[in-house]
Amino acid sequence: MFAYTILGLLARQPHHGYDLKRAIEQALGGSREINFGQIYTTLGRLERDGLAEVQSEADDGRGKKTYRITAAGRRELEAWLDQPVVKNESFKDAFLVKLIVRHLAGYGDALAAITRQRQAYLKQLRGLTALAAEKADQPFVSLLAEGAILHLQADLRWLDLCDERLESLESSS
Amino acid sequence: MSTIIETRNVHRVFGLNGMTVEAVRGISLAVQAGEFVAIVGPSGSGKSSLLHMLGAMDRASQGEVLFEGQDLARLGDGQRTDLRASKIGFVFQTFNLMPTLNVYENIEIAMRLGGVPRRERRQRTGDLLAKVGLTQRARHLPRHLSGGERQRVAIARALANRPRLLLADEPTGNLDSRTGTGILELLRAVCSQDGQTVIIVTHDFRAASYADRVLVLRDGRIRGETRLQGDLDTHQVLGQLLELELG
Amino acid sequence: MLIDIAFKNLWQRRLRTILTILGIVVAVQLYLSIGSIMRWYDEDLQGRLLAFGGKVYVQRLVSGDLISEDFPSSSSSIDTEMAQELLGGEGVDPQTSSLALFVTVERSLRPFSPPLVIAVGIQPGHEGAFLGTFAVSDGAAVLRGERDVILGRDAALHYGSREGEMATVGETIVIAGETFTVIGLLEPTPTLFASAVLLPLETAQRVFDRQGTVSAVILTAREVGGVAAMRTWVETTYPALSVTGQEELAQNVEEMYANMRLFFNAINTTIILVAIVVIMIVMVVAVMERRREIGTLRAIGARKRVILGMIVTESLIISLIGVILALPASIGMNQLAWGSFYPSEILLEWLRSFGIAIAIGVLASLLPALQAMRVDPLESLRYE
Ligand SMILES: Nc1ncnc2c1ncn2[C@@H]1O[C@H](COP(=O)(O)OP(=O)(O)OP(=O)(O)O)[C@@H](O)[C@H]1O
Ligand SMILES: [Mg+2]
Repeated sequence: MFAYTILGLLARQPHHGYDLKRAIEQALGGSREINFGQIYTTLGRLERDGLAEVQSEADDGRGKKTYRITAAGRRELEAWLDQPVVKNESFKDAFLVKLIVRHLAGYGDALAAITRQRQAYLKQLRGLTALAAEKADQPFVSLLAEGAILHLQADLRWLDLCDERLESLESSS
Repeated sequence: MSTIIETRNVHRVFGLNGMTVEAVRGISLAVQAGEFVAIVGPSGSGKSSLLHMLGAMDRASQGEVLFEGQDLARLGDGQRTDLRASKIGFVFQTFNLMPTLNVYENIEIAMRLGGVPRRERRQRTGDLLAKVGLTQRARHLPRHLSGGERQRVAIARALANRPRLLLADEPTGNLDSRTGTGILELLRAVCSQDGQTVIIVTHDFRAASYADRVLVLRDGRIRGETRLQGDLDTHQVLGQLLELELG
Repeated sequence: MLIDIAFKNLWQRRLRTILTILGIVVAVQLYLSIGSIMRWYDEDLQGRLLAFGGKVYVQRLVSGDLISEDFPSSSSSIDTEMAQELLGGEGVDPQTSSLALFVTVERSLRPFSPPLVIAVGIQPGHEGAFLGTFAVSDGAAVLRGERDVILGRDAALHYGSREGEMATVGETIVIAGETFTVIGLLEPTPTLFASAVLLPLETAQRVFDRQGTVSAVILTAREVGGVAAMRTWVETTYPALSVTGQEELAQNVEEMYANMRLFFNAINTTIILVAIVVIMIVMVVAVMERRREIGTLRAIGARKRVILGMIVTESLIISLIGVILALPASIGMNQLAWGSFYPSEILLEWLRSFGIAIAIGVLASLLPALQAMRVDPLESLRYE
């Protein structure tokens, strides 16, 4: 994921490490520090795989290299960009696992667990709606927030469904 | 903090063609002055029925609804009407503005019914228009406004008599999410800035997340209650998000 | 309190409001016209009764011919000789009494009305016996020539050479195939006199082929208080004849008008009821359409009586505008129908009809207002 972000930036123009750090931080709303180590490891990997190469090396002795994308790198980036995403990981629900285990272990009171979970989701949702409102002028950040909000709304609905199903399950057993 | 409205084991039973529907089955709650409460729950869970009783529009079949300590069941129609005129503001899902009155008049009508003198009405209507950001649209008819603008007028109308309690049934139900967000922020603002007590009914969790307290209804009963108070560090929220996405 | 809203509601549904008001205008103008007709009859009656002060009409009525149907009776017939005897009767002033022959020349178009033109054969020099207090306003008051006539206003209009113009003094007119000269015109008078064509008795008897008989003898008492004595003398001496004085006339004409009044009153009541029903239907529909709005008003704190006031106001606005516009409409209709109108009477009727307008408005709004007051605040929330 991170590798493709860097490839994307290099596709526009050659960059050296510090530029990349700044560009990524800016795109993410300036809320997060990216450490150099992560950037250089990724660049090293890209170079090893022949997707990026060193264009020039500054002679200030500190080894500040400027990287550019290779033809293979560009092909790889474009293939990745054009590949539709398949949902699978985001279906994973840790809370469902807890519910199942709770049931298997014979602990009752699923309702209390659901209520706690709902509270946690609602708090998260509250944070995200505030974020979305605050960063409404930053398209990518607000899209990120809105996406998360929609997921959480679905999760909360799903909690209602858990509540309903488990209630009938408990009352029948 | 003082309790504005309170219910004690309140029930509401509807009789229809010999069949009875128990919409509310024993709800007890108390809302403090300055609180922002959201009532959520699936369709048919009794949210609206409960809100109508809180708003003195409907009577409980059993139990008590106390507004400022006074049992609404003991009041006659006229007294309940006066209560709605002066102490309770109501915002409808479908806006319910008077189609023949312009924005200004729609806000003013509430004060006319509430017996506010003319001079003060003008002053307050101007303030309310500014608050909901519709000063430029004062002379427009509702049919020339967007849904969001209409709901703003409706909120201004509901606030016109400086009610102790503002009730809203699905205030964003007929709006797209962006416009709905604007309305919710407005409600949030009147609550946090003016100390207005607000109760909204919604089945949208996003809307509910604006409240300080969320009551979850199921089959006419309170199924869960969640407090959401606390300051928000959006910076931290964003950080967590990015961590997840960029992992 | 919500008067402006009432106005705006009506304005919102302009077409319907205008049509409703039109309905009320039509109804109320009819009501005003009928009112003016009734008033006109009353005044005419009063005028006629005045002219009969101090006089009696002696007639021989054909059995079954009620005086109320036709006065003076044109079927009554008395021999000239017997009539002459009456003139010499006790307490009779022969100078202001006369034999008279009444012949209907032209029937009226108005219901229950005296003839449009009635020939009155009178002894020359005794015109006053018939005319009483009414005077000639133009030309001579005495029939000198054999072919002289004096015309009442309606008769003059009838014989005018052009539509809408009265015949003038000096003009010649044709009655029953014979030519006459107009020598005088009467001042404006009640109908019987207005439609009269006075001509010498002998000429009348010849022209209408009634030689040797008259219709009536008009007797005037010599003294003001002598009417009673005079009529007692006539009644005892000539039991076969009937005597009609001011009292009988009043009574009989009253009887005759009673039916007419009943008829007109029935129409008037119907008109008012129709007006009430028209507004009621419109208001009931308006309330049905606006249940949600009314519910909203109730929900935001409008008391029941505020709603009541709004509906009653709407209804009153319709009825009052209708009544105000009905005045010019009524004048117009009168003018069209009879080429005349009675402004003062209509004005009076109009003022009175304000009361009626309020009554219509209030009565029409009772049912819809009751419906509106019953609207529950919760109806503001139904939107299916
Ligand atoms: N006036 C009424 N007559 C009969 N039944 C009613 C009436 N009002 C509500 N109900 C019933 O009471 C139950 C609760 O209705 P209510 O409107 O309170 O639900 P809600 O939670 O507001 O639902 P929604 O989210 O769909 O608005 C439903 O089963 C409904 O059919
Ligand atoms: Mg509802």
